[in-house]
Amino acid sequence: MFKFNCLSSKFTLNKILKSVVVSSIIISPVLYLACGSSGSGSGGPSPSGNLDQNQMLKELSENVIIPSYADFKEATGELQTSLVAFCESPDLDKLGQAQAEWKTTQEKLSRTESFGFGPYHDQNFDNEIHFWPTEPDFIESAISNNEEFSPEVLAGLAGGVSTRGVPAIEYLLFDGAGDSQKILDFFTQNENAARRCNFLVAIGSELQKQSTALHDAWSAEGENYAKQFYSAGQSGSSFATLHDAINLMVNEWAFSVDYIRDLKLAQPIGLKSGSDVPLPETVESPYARYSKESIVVELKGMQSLYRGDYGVHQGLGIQDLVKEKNVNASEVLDQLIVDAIEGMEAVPGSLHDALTENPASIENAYEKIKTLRDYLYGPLASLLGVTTKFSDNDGD
Amino acid sequence: MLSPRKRDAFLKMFVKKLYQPIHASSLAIFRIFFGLMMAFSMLRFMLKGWVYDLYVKPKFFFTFYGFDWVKPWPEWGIYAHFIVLFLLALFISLGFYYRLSMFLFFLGFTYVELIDKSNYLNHYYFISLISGLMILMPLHHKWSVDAWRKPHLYSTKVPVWPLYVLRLQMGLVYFFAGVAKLNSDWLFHAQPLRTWLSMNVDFPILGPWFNQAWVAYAMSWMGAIFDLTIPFFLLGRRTRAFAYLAVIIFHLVTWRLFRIGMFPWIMMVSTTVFFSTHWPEIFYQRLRRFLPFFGISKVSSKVKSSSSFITQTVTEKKSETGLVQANTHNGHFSKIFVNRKQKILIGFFGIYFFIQFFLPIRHIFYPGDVMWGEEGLRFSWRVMLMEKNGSIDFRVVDPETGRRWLVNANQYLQPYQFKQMSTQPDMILQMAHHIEQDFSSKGLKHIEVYADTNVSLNGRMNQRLIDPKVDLAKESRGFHHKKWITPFINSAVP
Repeated sequence: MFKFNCLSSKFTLNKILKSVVVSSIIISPVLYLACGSSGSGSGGPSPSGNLDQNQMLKELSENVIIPSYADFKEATGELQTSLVAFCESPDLDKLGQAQAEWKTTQEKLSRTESFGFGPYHDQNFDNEIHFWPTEPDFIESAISNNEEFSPEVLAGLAGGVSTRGVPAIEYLLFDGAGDSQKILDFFTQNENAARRCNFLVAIGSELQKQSTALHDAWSAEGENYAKQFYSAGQSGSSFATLHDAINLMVNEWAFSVDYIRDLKLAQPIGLKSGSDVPLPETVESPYARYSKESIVVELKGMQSLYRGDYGVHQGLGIQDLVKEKNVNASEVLDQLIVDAIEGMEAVPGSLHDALTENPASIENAYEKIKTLRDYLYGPLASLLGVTTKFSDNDGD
Repeated sequence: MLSPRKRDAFLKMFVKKLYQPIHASSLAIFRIFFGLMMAFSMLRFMLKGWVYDLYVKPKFFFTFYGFDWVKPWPEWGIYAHFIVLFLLALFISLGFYYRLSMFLFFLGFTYVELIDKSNYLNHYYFISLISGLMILMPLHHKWSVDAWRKPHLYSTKVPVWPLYVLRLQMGLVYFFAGVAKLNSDWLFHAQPLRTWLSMNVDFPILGPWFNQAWVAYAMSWMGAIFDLTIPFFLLGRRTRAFAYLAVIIFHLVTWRLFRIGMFPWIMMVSTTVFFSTHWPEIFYQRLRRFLPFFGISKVSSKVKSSSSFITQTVTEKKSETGLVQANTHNGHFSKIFVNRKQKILIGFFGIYFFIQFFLPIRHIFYPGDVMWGEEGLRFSWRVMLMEKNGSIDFRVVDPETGRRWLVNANQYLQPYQFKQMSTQPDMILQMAHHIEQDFSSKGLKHIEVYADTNVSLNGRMNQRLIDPKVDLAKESRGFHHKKWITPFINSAVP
């Protein structure tokens, strides 16, 4: 009979097994003291690990995310009021008021972009609210071909979501060159002036409905997605683990930065299309010339999520999670976000104009945002163990 | 050098060892559970929508070098493929046309794994290997439809070599997984386990401890020791029960912590090959004591007399398929006939295990850190060793016109493919070649493709993975060292 002689009972394997297990338990704290505490100097990891991550998600939901959506909802309400007032008796003052409200709405929307997970994406609010670039031909065709614009008519328009939302309203209220009289003429002199106003009010109303539904989807008074989110890993939550929720949030957060870099900057610079001249018409808000401001606010929204503060609200944020793992990393990341914001703010005038007049300032901003993107997708992803995978893996 | 006579004697002794008859029960149970697990896996794959996500939705696939001819079926075909694999797995479990089912399952499963490198997992590779080996093994002589249909196939004994082969293969998986853990990140920084544990602070009971560094160190060391030693403890008669308990605890914890799919279950079932060869009968006997109403026919007195799973027995002569047909107890092997089939089998397994020993260590022939450049990383049981993340942009330059493009590869890839590609040099090269072909199809010939990469390994600061000045369009695929992989700088691990 074949025997495994090399492992005969003389070796007293039970003793060996027990001794290796015990010795590994003993040696580990020693190694921790010897190596773990010296890994990163003064900015080393906190050994305490006391952050209540569910509480962090709760405070982020209640202090940053829901208030941001509430502000967006309020802004769309103010915008709709101004649109109705403008269409009742169009003049330059009311147009100016509507344009100002549009900018506020765009800012409040941009503020929410870095946490566009959950209902915003799952319930298609992203397309309904912020599909860009808009399609002027479809909008003009819709105005020419329809008298009334009920929700059913809007839903059936050729061009779909590209004919509504914040970008479509921008197209109707701004002309790109700042010529408000020209816009006013469209609403007063043009043969489709009345229809144009009807359409504007109709998509304004639709936007208000969408922003209200989005806020309700998160708030406790509505579908209360926030509770699903912050009670991740607990019974009743759709998130099986706490990490699933953090993974989703950080992924979206990082993605929003890459989106700015790739589509909101690289594209108009001409990097994506092999163009040797900039392409200003491809900026996010070409008619209102409000792209730079939108990016700055979007980055500040990202900063809010990181620091856990928004307006009068203050609480735990992603920074606290990063700090718990590595104090130095939390400071580096905070500075990279500040650098990115300052880089964008340093672009003179509008992004549209700076593309041709001051491209160096945009390239500088691009590099800072790229550096931030690289940090998020590299060290931060490793530090937090976030992944974009959706299938099981064995980790290598 | 051995003389021909001694060589012949050695060969005969070897054959005698390999063809000792053993109880067929444990291998039959292994076949049954392997088939059931594979059937469940195929069903799970389809029900979770992964067939569509991984094989229908992607527009581009990262093929393995030398296997570019492997292409996915059209949508209906790939679904049919998985349904067939599911049925084949059930057939394997039932022992129905076992050899044919096993052969087709091996081909079908391996085909799926060869479609896209992005989906490479060590346990898929393991399944391919095991299913390939099982084709050669007589695991259908007991508790199978084949043995019921063809009574001459039925046998309570099979040669011992399949057991040795499976044990050796299992042992290699654990052992090399342990060897791979003998690196400074794992042992002296407890990375990446420290990061992964800290993501599981909501784990029942133990969760609050997972943020403690010493726990990560303890688990890292215990993990390495477990992998390095468990095959030996499983082989040892006196340690086997304790070792299998450790296997179960280890795999249940990793399953719950890291969501690694079927892998822990596959390993828990596969390690039963280390048990006594008639453990199913003993298990049943014990079960009867607790459940007397579980009445089935009597178990043989021989089995009854055994009191544990660890007995390694059977010396009786048996004139069954391939078993030794001579009395060998006197130490003489002159009557043993080593036939051509046996020689081929021995030769095959000799080459097979040489490759299996070589593959996990082949990275030593490449310069640099294997976790960084990943040259020689796949097929080497380097499991759960790194948290590697990064970003990548491709730059395309037309040298004739000077035009430049910044290419975001996500336009060609699914998010999971992009994530895999962004940190793996061979996939980056394939992506660069695909971009070149795409531009070429649009009339832009002879373009240059550069990769701007930033990669973080186990929490370190970003480093360039690929030399940004090298035109990847001109670089070739293959097993040679890629000089355009930037050397790894072993900076501080956080």
